[in-house]
Parts: sequence; C-alpha cells; structure tokens
Amino acid sequence: MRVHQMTATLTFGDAVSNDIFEIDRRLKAWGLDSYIYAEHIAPRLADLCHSDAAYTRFLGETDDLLIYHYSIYTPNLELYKRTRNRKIVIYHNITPPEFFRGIDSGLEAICRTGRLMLGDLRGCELALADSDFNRRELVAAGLPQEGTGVLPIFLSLEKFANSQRELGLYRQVRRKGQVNLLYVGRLAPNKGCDDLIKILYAYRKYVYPDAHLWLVGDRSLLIYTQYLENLAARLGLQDAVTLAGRVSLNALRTYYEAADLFVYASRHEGFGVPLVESMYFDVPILAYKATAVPETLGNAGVLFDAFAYPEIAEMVHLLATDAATRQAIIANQRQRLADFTPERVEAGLHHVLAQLGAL
Amino acid sequence: MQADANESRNAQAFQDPGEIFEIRDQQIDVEALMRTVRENVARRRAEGAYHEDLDAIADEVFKDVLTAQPLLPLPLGDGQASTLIELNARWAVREVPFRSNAPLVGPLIVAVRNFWNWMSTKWYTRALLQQQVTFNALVAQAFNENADEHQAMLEKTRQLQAICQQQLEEIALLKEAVQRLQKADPSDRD
Repeated sequence: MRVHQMTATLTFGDAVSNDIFEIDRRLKAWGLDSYIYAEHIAPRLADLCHSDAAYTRFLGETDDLLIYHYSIYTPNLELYKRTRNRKIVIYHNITPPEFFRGIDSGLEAICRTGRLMLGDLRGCELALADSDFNRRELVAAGLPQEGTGVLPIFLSLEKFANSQRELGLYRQVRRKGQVNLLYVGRLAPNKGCDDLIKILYAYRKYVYPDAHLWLVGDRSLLIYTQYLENLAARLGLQDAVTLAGRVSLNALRTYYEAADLFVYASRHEGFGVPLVESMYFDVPILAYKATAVPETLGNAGVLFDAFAYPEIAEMVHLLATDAATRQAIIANQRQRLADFTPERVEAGLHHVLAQLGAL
Repeated sequence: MQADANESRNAQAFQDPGEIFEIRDQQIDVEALMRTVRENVARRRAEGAYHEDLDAIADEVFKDVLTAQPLLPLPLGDGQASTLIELNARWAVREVPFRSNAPLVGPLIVAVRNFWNWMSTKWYTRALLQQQVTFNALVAQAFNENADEHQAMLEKTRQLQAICQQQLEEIALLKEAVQRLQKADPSDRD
C-alpha cells in the first residue's frame, strides 16, 4: 500500500517534521511504500521528500492513504480536500493569531486562516491530534467526536544519546553558585518569554541575586526578540538574560545539563516537546497551567495558574536549591517520561493503521 | 502583553500559594512547601519588596518597541549607506606623490626619492598593488550589488505582503460566505 504524508513545511529540528520522518521510518519498516510531501522544504531535507505538487498524480488513487499533518495554513489543504485517497489527519495545533498582532502581520494572517479552515479537515476517516487539548479543538471546529483520537508525537529523544556535552559552553553556563533557569522553544509571544524575564527579575532582586535565564530557540520574530532584549535592559537584566538562538544538538544537551530549573510560561501549547526533553535530562519543571501543558506533564512537575511573581520567585528557589524537593519532582518526571517512549507511540500508530486495514 | 490581564488581576489579589501552584506528587509535602512560600513572600513584602508593577513596565516596553519598529525589513541604515559611499570612493589604491617641504634641497630630495622608488620597488609593488586594486574593485562591486538586491527585495516584500494580505482577506470572506451557504442548506456540506 502507498502511504503519503503531507504538510506545510519540512525543516530540520522542527517537532512536526521530526514526527513525519519518524512515522515514515515505521511505515517503511512495516512494508508500506511511504512518501513525504511539503510546500516548503529545507534544502538539507530535499533528498528525503517531494514538493507537494508531486502528490497531484496520486489524487485519484482510492487505495492510497494520505496522512495529512496540519499545523498552519498551507495551500496544499486544497489537495487534501480534493484527493480521493483514504485520509487521516494529524493535527498539531495552530497558535491563535491574536498573539502575533503587531509583531508579525503575515504570521497573524496565516494563523487566522489556518484556524478558520480547521473545519475543512472533515471528510477523513480518522482525525488524530498529539494531545487531547488539540483533539478537542478539532471537535469544536466541527469534526465528529467519534472520528477523533490522540496519538502522541514521536519525540526522538534517542538523538540525545549520540550527542555530547560542549565543555566550553558548559563551563560558561554552569558557574559556581549561579542558578540557571532554562527555557527551550521558539521566542514567540504565545510562549510567554517576557514573563520568564519578569520572574527572573523578582527572583534576582528579592530572593537570590545570582541567577541567569537562558532562552534557547529560534528568534526570527525580530520585533518580539527586540521587545525581550529591551525588557531585560529596562529591568537591568541585560547580563542575566541570554537569548541563545537556535543551537546545535550538542549545545542543546549542554544547556539542559547545566540547568537547575526548566521554566515554561507558554499560554498556548499544543503539546510542549521541551517539557518532555526536560524530563529526559532530569531538570525539574515549573510551568504555567495552560492549554496542553498540564496534559503533557501529567502528574509531573509543578504548575502555576497565575502570574504571581513573588510566589513564583519563591517556588523557583525551592525547586532550584532544595535537594529533597528536586529529587521528588525528578522521580515523578521520570515516571511520566515512560509514557512517551517511541515504542508506545509506535504501538499507537500501528493500532490506528491496523484499524483502517492498512496493515 | 495582551494576554496578561486575567493572570495579573489574580496576582494583584494576593492569592494564597495553595491556589496558585499545583503539585500532584504524593511524595512531596505540598503544604510545607506552600507554607514556606507563603511565609517568605509575607516577610519580604513586610520589608518593602515586590512593589514594582512588572506587567505595566513590560507593557510600556512593548508599546515602545511597536512604535519604533517598521513592519518590513529595514532599508540600509545611514551608517551602512555612508560606509558604502566611502567604499566606492576609496577602492582604487592611488600612488601618493612624494613631497618635501625642505627649503632649497626639497626638489632634489623628491627627485632622489622618486628615482630610488622607481629603481628599487616600483616595478615590484606595481603588480602587487594591481592585485589589491582588483580585489578592492570586486569587493566594492559585490557590496553595491548586495545593496541593490536588498533594495529590490524590500520592494518585492512590500508588494508580496500587500498581495498576501489582500488574498487572505478574500479567503476569509469566501470562507464566511461558504459557511453562510452551508448553514442555509445543511445537505450540501462538502
């Protein structure tokens, strides 16, 4: 059987792209002919996939299966709607456009259109989402509840096993007496990076002065990045906040290993891959209780549901310095991590395909 | 920023830590942890801590950034433009004539020096100099071409952004029209 996977963009290191390649690997291992298509393809990945235009010749194939990954508006949604293939949707969530107002009008418009078109995903045999939060969004958009399900994303944590700590960077980050707060993810308004700077301010000024916030991730939203830099400067934190940008796998490993606490203030999260990566590296997690975050954490980590900076600053200190509390949190996070093993996701995918008679 | 309003109100109402945090770990004495947080915050507040309105400061910084930022890539800044002008003026290395201000013997010194330069180094350095001039010319040309391309891309981006905006608005209108039609005739949903 031929299985096609299609999405908007395939880039290196992106969670959705990674999920697609992991699924592709399983499909091939199970003896299926697997192909990947996207509207935009990073040059490094060009040999592994095809432009979405190449999919058009399979539109009339009623025995083929299309797995359509939806995470932002893309014109190839029309191909999804027109195809006579059997169809599965995997919805990875689209950030509400309001977050980008004034920051990136193009992104705001694409997110608005993407969410507006959610209902167009009807007509598939099964609509999957990588969290129940995302699944509920599909139902709210008009997809039939009984035709929806949850399939966690493939995380590829094993990639870290082949990575190495960068000693120079580690020495730079892990200074004696310094508390390191870490955030990993895109620097974007929905991620609440500004709130992390406010938390750092409260913590340094009133609880413990030797603390540093490392913001690791894409900073291509220039206006937002400028805002973060200006906010840090205004609060006198220009030397205590580092916007590290996108980093190599080795550097990412190093930041996790040097961190005392992972802080997450995201207001809109479809899953939250860095939360699971923090579990992998035994970094205690303090996160804002919003959207899919509590679901991803399960019983692990510590959640807060109000931006009460004084209380959060105190909690930061307890989680960063109190050994017994840290150990208990880490032990719980390890248990939760077991729910995201690739074997479990693989079993879920196998079950779905078997249900549809594809295996 | 915009999404802060509700959470900030909660924060200003001095919620109890037990209402702010959620720890679902059976091994942790959550009440003891909350007591520590509660007592420390109360003590620091009594000492005058936490008086800043961090959300208000952040809003102010955000507004300043928005008003200062154009939504498109920046054209070449004044500094870059003046550097380019200087590069265009100075890429060609020119020989500086030797001069002497010494009275009477000055012209003789100049003549001797010129003769010595002609004899000892001119034919050797001229070839090197020519290589440097060629290199400088290529660098200057590359920078000028980049500046032109930057300007062209800026124009193109402006045009594309306008087209995208227009098309997205059309899509949204069409989508609404389709939804209206589907509501009017539920049998024709696809």
